[in-house]
Amino acid sequence: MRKEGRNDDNEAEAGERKLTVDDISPAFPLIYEIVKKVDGMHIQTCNKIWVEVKRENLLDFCKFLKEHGFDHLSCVLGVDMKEYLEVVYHVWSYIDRRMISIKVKLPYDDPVVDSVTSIWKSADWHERETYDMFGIVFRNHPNLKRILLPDDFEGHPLRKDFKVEERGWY
Amino acid sequence: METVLLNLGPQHPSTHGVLRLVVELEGERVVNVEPVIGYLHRGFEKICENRRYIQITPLTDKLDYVASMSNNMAYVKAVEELLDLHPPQRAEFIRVIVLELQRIASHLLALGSIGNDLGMPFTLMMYTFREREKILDLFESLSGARLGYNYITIGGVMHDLPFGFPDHVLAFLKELDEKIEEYEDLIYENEIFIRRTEGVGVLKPNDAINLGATGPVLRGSGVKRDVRKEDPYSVYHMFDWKVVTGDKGDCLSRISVWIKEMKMSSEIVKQAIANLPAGNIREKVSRVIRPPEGETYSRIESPRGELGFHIVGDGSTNPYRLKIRSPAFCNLSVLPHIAKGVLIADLIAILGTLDPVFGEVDR
Repeated sequence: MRKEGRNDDNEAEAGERKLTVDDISPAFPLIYEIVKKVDGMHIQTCNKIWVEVKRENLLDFCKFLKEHGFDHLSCVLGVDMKEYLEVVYHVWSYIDRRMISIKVKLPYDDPVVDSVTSIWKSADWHERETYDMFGIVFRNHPNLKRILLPDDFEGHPLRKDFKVEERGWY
Repeated sequence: METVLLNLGPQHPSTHGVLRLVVELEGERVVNVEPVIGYLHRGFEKICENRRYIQITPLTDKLDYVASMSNNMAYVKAVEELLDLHPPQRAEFIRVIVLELQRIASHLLALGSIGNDLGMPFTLMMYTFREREKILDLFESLSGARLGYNYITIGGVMHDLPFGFPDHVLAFLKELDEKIEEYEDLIYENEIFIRRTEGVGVLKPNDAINLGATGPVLRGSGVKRDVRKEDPYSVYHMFDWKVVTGDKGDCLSRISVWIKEMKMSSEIVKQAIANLPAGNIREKVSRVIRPPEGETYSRIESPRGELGFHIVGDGSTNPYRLKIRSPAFCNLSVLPHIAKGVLIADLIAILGTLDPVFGEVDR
């Protein structure tokens, strides 16, 4: 039995004021380079960093992360924000024990983004699912087709404008 | 040589549920295999968008239906992160106890069914189900249900432990430790079992990480990674325990990880019961939960691996978007990569050790 006390002092601190880049730079010097490459940044806790990237820069940024030890793509998901679509990539570094969540905004009428399967193979099924549910097209994906829904399904059900057919009461 | 296309499933006892495998065969060798999933897709993520936060917990029971407690915990943890809510210490300890018991129950089921897959039906399954039944009985006394518990809830747990529960658990664990030795004899001393699993379906450590494998599949390849240690949640940081790994990355290593993990879980439960604090079991939360605007991604280590919930809240009573990162889904995507060139009988063994549960794969 170890001594009590959580080791997330930073989390308590975050409640009082917003964390900045300088707060986490001693433990994570790479942050200065990341700041230069991204459009926006939100530091949730010391090891949860949300960044926003333009879709043209996504592949370069992902390659950069992979080179610096972010080797586990935990999850890829889409979000329909009504004005635009959003793809979120959660990338975890097994060495640094840090998560960077990359957000990419896509316009409704042209939801195309580069596939990251060449960097993390685990993106394969995640991207297929996102395509299935949101109709987001991943360029250069090896096998982009529906995964959970039948091939002849019409529409993309997790978009907010998808009408769910309601069953009547009998 | 001409290849033959074989459809395996979707209704076949060896595919662990409604999985269809389109297998390209050259004689008895697998040239290519393509899993076709989605037969159990219930539109879970869409349903959640039309439910209140508190109504979603019982739904999560139906994700990974052999490890419902873990699903409850993963969802509840994500909501608590959104609400910035910290449950009382006693609730956290009870959570750890039930989560680890659930891990044992889930691994027992996996261990039993791998015996079926390898053509030694009933022997292993009969023994492992004997112990699993006792855990289900314990959970029944705790929550009133045997499979879908809805026990871990936002702010704590539903009920306090029933009278005598810790003693029953300790008595069970003492028995389990002896029985695990029995399983080890049944597995490691059985030449047929060894020859069917050793060196079959090797997953190299680097591939395992790159392909997104987590849980026993990753640790079977010798990668010492576990969310409970990496990104500690609940009170796991207070116990003394180790991450167990296999060494070769083959089917046998993955099976050995299950057995070692059961022992380790039993250790954690014993420590948790010895140090169980008194106090409240539930933090006060309002009847209608309305998290502030924001989003979070939180993960736990379920018996199958990294189970994550991404929740986007828009300040209303329903989640705006809820995404489940299910470990079985990601582990199953490894199958086409490691099943090239194996015999079709070995394909079933590999699938068994990946341990998919289709409630969770298809959601």
